[in-house]
Amino acid sequence: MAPIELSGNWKLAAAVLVGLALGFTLVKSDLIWQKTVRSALQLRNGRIIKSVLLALALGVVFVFLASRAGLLPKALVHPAFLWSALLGGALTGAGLVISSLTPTTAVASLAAGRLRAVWVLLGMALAIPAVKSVSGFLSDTLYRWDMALDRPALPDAFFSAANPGLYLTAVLLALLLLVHFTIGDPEE
Amino acid sequence: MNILTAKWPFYVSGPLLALLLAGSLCLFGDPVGLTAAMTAMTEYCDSAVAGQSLPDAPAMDWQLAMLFGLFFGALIAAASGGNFKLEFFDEESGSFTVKTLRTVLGGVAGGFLVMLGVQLAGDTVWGQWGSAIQLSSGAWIFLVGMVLTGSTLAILLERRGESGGGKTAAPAKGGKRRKK
Repeated sequence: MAPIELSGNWKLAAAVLVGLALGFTLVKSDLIWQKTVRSALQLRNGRIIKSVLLALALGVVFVFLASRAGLLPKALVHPAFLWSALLGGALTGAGLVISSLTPTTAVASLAAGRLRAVWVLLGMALAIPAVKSVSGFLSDTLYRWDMALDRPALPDAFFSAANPGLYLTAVLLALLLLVHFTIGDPEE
Repeated sequence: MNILTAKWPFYVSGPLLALLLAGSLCLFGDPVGLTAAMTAMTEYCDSAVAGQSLPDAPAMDWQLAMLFGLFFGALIAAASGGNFKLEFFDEESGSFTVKTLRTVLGGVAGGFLVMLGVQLAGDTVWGQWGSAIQLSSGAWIFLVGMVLTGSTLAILLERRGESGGGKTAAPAKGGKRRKK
């Protein structure tokens, strides 16, 4: 099967449809509500944690299937660096505790009437020029010292000992089971 | 289960999110994060404020189109499920001034930190999910760092009774661990 190469208005129309589906799914899975995200971070809401774990586990499988079908010829990722990823993850985690929203969920939360998301989006908007203003400093320090990570290669076979995706999927599913039997669901 | 009104269980939302991530990669042929769209919107607002007039709208690309779709998808879902509610403050008790200060300062500070983190790492959280399912080690480092820091801080703050969820460390309603 050849890769799907949408372009022009078809690509925009597909993006709107995917966005609609994503917005709908984020609301229905409770990923945009401040209280539920906070309770998930406090390991009190098993449903959100299980949704994320299952999405990641199945995503690995779907990407493999798409790659084998020829729909995804190569991995589509931005270059990654060790310390930037670690520091970025830590800062995002800290911000998530305070605001409980990511850029994507902040837009969806605003659409659902939670006007406090405006302040979160304002904080995000302020961070963009702030990072740009110190980009020279970052280039001379963090990015110079940083260690570039290898670009991922999509595996040829899923059930192969050389496929890290197999181990990841197994670990994610094991974690899902652990969460299922240890952390309750507030809705139940 | 009525899919329009009910909350979706994890075995419905998880596969759908995975499908949307993998589908986006196949359809758009790009990493799936929305950083470029957020940056374009920010620069548009910045130039509008600086020039005190509305500049030409940024060129519509697939990321911006997806952002608009996301907004209306969430609006439809919230409205159809009866979840649409105008809320100005974090759900906390307290005086108007305290609630306003907490909402504004918490929102701006949290949003700033989140965007600072994703800018350093190179993609939004959604984009990192998209990279993670393609086995990017950088995305996994980001996600693990985010979850460990987020959970540790959230639990520590909760124990100190300073979490935004309330002044006490009492568990949320129905949030007890299962006994069996």
